[in-house]
Amino acid sequence: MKNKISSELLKGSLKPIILKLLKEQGRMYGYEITQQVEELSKGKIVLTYGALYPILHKLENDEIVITEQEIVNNRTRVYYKLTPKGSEKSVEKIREMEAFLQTLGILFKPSPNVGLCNT
Amino acid sequence: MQYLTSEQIDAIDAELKNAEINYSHLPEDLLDHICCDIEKYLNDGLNFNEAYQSVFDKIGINGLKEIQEATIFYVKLNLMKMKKLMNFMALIGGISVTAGMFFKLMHWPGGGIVLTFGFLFLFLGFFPAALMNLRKELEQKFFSAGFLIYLVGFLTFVITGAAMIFKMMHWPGGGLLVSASMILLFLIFFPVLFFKIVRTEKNRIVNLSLVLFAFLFAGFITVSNLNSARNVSNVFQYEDLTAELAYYKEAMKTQASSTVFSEAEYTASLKLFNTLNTDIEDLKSLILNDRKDIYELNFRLNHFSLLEDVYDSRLIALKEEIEAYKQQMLKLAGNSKDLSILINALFNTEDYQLEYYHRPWIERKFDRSYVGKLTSLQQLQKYIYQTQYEVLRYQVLNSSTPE
Repeated sequence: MKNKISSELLKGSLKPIILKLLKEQGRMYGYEITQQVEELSKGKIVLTYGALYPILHKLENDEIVITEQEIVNNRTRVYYKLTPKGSEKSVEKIREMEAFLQTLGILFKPSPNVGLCNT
Repeated sequence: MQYLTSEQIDAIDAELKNAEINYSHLPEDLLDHICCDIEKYLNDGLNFNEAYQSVFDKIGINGLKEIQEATIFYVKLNLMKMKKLMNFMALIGGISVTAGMFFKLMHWPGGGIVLTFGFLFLFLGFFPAALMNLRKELEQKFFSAGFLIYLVGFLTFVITGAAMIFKMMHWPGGGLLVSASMILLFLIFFPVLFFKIVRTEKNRIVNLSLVLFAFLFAGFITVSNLNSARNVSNVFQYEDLTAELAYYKEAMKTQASSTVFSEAEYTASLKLFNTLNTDIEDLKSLILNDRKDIYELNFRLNHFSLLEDVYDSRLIALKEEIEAYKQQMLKLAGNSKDLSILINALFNTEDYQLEYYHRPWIERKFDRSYVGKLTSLQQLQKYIYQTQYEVLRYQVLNSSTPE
C-alpha cells in the first residue's frame, strides 16, 4: 500500500488544501478535487467522500464558495467556485497554513548533533 | 474514454434514493462522483459490475447515509451550538420573568431586578439569537424582502419589551413606548403574522417565540392592569373602612357630651370637620351615582363618573380643606407628640417623590378606578372621624386631669 498520511494529521489541513486548489483552478467539481489532491500529493492524501462533501457544503453555507450545475455525460455535475469573499478568505487561510508549516518546519528540523560541534 | 449509459446512471441514482440522500445538492454531487469513479475503473479494464462493486465497497454498507449525516452535522454545527444556547437563554429568561412578576405581585423586594434581568435576557439574548437562527434556517439575506417581516417582528418585540420594563419600573417614556408597541403589534405585526401563518407551513422557532411572547404579553396585561382584581380588593378595603368608620362614629357619640379643654378651637374644628364630611359624602354619592350597591358598580365597566378628571375643582378644593383641617387639628393636639404624628401621617398631602418617579398626591388618591376613588374617599372620611375622635378624647382627658 501507498504511504498515506493519517486522517488525524490531515484534519485541519483539508480546508486550506481545497481552498488553494479552488483559488488556482477557478472552478472544480468533487471528483476533480479528489483526483487533483491525490495526484499532487503523489497518492499520499486520499480524500474520501465523507471528508470532501461536508467541507464543500460547509464552505457553500458560509458563502465562501458558490455552486453551478451543468449536465455532463447524462448527469448533473456540480461545480464549486470561490466567491469574492471566499477569495479573500482563501488567501488568508493559505497564508495561515504556510506560517503553520514554517513553524512545524522549525520544530521538526533534525536537531544539530551537539557532539560534533565540540571543539 | 468510456462513459456510463443512462441506465447505469439511473441504477446508481436509485441506490442514492434508496439511501434517502436528499440534502441540498448532495445527491448530484455523489451521483457524479460515483459515476466518475466507476468510469475510471472501466478505463482501467474492469467491467461495470466489478467497478460498481469496488466503488460501493469503498463507500461501505451505510456509507452513503453516513456521508449525508456528516455533511449535515458539519454544516449545522454552529447552528446547533447556537440553538442550545438559545434554549438556555429562553429558559433562564422565562424563569426570571415569571419569578419577577410573582415577586411584583406579592410586593416582595427584588421583583423589579429579577424582572428586568429576565427581560434583558429575553430581549437582548433570546430574540436576537432566534432572529439569527431564523435567517440561517430560511437561507435569506438579512435585509431582503422575505426577511423583512421577521425584522419588523423583532423590532416590535424589542419595543414592546422595553415598554414593559419602562412601565413596570415607572421610568419616564413608558407611555410612549406602550403606544408605539401597540401600534406595531396590532396594526402591523399581528395582521402580517396572521397571513403568514395562514399561507405557509409552521415554523418551530417562530412558534416558540410567539408562544413565549404571547405569554409575556398576557402576563404584562395582568400585572399592569389587574383592573378587576384590583377592584375586588378595593371592594374589600371599602368594606373594612366602612366598618372602621362606623366604629369611630359610634365612639364620637359617647364622648360628645363631655367637657373639652379648649372649647372655641374645638368648635372651629367641628365646623371644618362638618364641611369636609359633607364634601366627601357628596363626592361619594357622585361616584355611586345614587346607587348604594358597590358590587354592582364594580362590574359596570362603562360607568361614567363626573370625577373622571383627577384635577377636578372639587377634588382640588377637597385637598385644601384637608390641609386646613389638618392645621386646625394639629393646634388642638397641642404638645401631644403621638397625636401630632398621627395627624401628620393621616393627612400627608405631599406628592410621592422618588429619584426617577414623581406622582402628585391627588393622582395617587384619585387616578384610580371608580371603586378605587370611592375607597380613597371612604378612607379620608374614616381618617377625619378617627382624628376627630382621638383629638376629642385627648382634650377630654386633659381637661379632667387637673381636678
